[in-house]
Amino acid sequence: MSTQKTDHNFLSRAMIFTILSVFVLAAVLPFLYMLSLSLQGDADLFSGKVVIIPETLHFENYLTIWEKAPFARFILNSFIIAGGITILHVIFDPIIGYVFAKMDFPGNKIMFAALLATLMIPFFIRLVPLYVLTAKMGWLDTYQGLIMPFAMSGFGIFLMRQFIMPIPDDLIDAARIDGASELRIFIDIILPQLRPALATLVLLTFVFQFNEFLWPLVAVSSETMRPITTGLTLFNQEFFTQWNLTAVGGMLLFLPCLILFVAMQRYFVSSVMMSGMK
Amino acid sequence: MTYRTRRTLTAYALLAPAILYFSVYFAGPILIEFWASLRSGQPMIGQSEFAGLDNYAEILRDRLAHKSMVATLVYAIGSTVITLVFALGLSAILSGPVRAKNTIRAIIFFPYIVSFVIGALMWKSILDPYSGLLNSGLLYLGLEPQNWLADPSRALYVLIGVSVWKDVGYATLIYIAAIQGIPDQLYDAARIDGAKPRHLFRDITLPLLMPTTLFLAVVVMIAHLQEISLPYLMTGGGPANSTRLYSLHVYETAFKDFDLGYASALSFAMFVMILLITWIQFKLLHRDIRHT
Amino acid sequence: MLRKNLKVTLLAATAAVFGMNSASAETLRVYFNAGHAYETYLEVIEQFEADNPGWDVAFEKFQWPDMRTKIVADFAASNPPDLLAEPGGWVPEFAQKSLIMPLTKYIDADGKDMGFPSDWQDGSVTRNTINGEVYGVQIHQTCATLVYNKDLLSEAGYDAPPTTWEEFRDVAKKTSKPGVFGFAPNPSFGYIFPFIYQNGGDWYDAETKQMTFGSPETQEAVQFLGDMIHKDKSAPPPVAGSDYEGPQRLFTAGRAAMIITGPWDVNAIRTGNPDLNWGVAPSITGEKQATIAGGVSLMIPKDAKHPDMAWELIKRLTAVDVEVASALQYGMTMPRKSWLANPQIGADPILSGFGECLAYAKGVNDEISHAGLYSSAVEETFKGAIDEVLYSGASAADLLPDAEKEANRLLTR
Repeated sequence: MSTQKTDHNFLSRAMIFTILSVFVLAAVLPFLYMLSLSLQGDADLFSGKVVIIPETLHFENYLTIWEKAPFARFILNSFIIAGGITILHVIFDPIIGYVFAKMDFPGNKIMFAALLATLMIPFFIRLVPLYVLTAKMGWLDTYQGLIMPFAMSGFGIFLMRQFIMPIPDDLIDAARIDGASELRIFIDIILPQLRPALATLVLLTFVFQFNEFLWPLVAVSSETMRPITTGLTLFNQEFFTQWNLTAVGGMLLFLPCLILFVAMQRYFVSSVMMSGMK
Repeated sequence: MTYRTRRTLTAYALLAPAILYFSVYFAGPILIEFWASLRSGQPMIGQSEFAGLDNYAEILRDRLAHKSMVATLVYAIGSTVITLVFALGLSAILSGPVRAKNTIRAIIFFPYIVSFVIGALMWKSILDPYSGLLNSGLLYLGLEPQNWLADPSRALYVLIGVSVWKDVGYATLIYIAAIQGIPDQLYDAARIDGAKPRHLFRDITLPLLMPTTLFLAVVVMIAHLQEISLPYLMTGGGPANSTRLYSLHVYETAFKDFDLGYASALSFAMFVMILLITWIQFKLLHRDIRHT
Repeated sequence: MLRKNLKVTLLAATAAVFGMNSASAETLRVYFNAGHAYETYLEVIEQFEADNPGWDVAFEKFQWPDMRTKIVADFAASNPPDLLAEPGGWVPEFAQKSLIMPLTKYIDADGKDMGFPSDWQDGSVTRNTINGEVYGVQIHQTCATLVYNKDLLSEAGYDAPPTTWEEFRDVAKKTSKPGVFGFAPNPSFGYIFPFIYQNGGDWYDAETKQMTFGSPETQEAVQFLGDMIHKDKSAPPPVAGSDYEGPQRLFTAGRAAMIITGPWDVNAIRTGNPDLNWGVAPSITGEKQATIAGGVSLMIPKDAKHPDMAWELIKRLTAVDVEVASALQYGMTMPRKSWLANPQIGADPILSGFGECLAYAKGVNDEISHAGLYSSAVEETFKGAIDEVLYSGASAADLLPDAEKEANRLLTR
């Protein structure tokens, strides 16, 4: 356990308790709501009444989705796509963030500005050219076609840069004088200190991509390549969303993200900070 | 080869994959969009002809675009500021001695990982003027029920609230990660020097969180300036176009109206505005802390 | 079994990485609405595959807005499906942009046998005819009309649904009580049009090619609903949003005495409240009797790889026995005259109720789309002004003429 970094003596315990209660309550609500929806029958959905705890719990909803669509395949697709993208981000974003944070070279500022600029055009505006490009590459309806457009992100690189910047330069300079290569410095000095940042990157990238809808919607053209998000729309009616089954799918989107969060959680606490300083 | 040249070469070698990737997947498509923004007709889909700056001139006359631009600024600034203030407070609390803090951290992150399609439905149902929990609560307390989302003067603020609710866990997560990254020695040294506990946060944590604050301010603001799913799922842009955020306007121009030329022009106008706002944020928040 | 499934899944996934999706059979790609994947249609497709060995039908299902996004990208990449369904308005739009093909040669060859166009309601044919050529075949045809709660009306002293504006307004007032609204309006754009048409107004004039929703008739219609909300308090402001569920939910829960809707709500009402005593009434009459039409047409993109096979499938999907079976099972109304004349349909009070309004129903976007002038900006400009009346209690006379001017400016783009 690391040293406490903030002290609460100045805030009364009661106040902290109140603040946390409000946020925790607001945060569990959607989960409980999703759980309730996922157990409702069609009659509950259409009744027009507010159903909080359904009279009959329709556990069969959790079976229906497997019967109505190739859901195992949707789940597998979601994991391959979001997992593949996350791995690429972990490989590329930190090292590029390091170059921007700690290396002086002509063009650093301009290229960093260009990188930020990539965040400023909404994705859907690139959608059509991106689709034409992917079609020309013959990658429609393939995993690489779904993964490659998200292989790196300005967001991830920017995040890494901001986490690397506070790491003292003395360490890096000392290593450079000793003749260490930049890659070595990155691996030996920077990476060990980036654990909380990497955990954040993994979590945010995976969650975001796991829930991505628009690109799989257009780049997939067969039912078996759909991820969970676009697969779920198969259950809907022309003018109605089949909310109970959508909520079951929502649970399937939620649980892996929660497990990942719990798995990453320890890296937020047990970072071996600055061991090289001593 | 001088040391400097060698380092420049190393830097570019390390950047090479990124340069390749961003050229193919960003620069290319964006250049095509720019080409489209200078054309009328059906650029990219069918016939089109060169139209100079006509599409850009149209933005000046497009009343809906102006209305949505104002709504977007209010929405983005409001939700970014509130999200960051809440997140900073929460991360300060959760980095300290709190019971069950790991569980609380996980729970606070829920709204970000629950599919937003469900989250939006939940809020619509809670805010429903006739059967929603919120109005039932108001009635119970003897207060007047409100038309939350069906009131053009209020709907946008409701969306700000929902967006804060959704993003605060994510911003808190990043702040906590950053606080964990601050060397313990700095605190130990300050304590030995006799610093009071309450000053530790102000004098050490807060300044060292500047890069993170800058990051969050920039990233959250950019995301909010491009927000589309919230109005798309909750209000459809109404009532009376009061929640028609700019991206929704662009999206409908592109995909409902097949007008990719004008939609591209609209996005470049937005791009310039985001660039300006981001530049201001850097000027305000950027401190060179490499040598602290 | 599970293990076998998993193995097949993994194998297929591996194949997908290397882009080796099965290429042995010819594939006919079809985009359809997810809510319209009726068993009856799936059977037609199964039979089609059986009759055409070596052919696979890839039946891809989407929500309409998702399909719209996908099809825009598909057109840009010249990669459209062979057969495309649409929710109304897309046929004239795509025809004018030369994105879909005229069906003339197919109709010349097969029209007589299949009964097209003679057996289709006139409106469903003219809607899909652009510059004298047919570009689409209607498969579903719907209209929205008055749906009412018999118990709530008789409680208030009415044994029949209203037939005129005055009666409608009175019934709405009398059936309103705490927790119950006389009429629950729908927030979607089209649902103000029954009143506009009934009052002799419109939003677009095909002769002058101008927007005309600033007219006194249209003002009066919008104000009529605005007054019911703000003066009579017999109707709630529509719950904002892009979904259709609000009025149906209030109606099903017995909290709205009347709504205007189409056959798609039948199953939802029956499922949500099987005991509800409700009926379908003819549309009310102002200057005239009128309401809005909707429905689905099928079309073949110009770059389709297998247009001939797509046409074969269209013929089978729109056969009258398929229509009758689908209607009876799913409560959908259909465009063929012989469908409406079918005794089984006539025996169903709900279906025949919704079938009746087809005759005087009009598509909101039909004329403006035929002129190639529809845009969401024009729609939003009008809708913005309507919303100000319905939500904020503004006066229609103050807002609509100005909004009309702006919309006409947008038309000249």
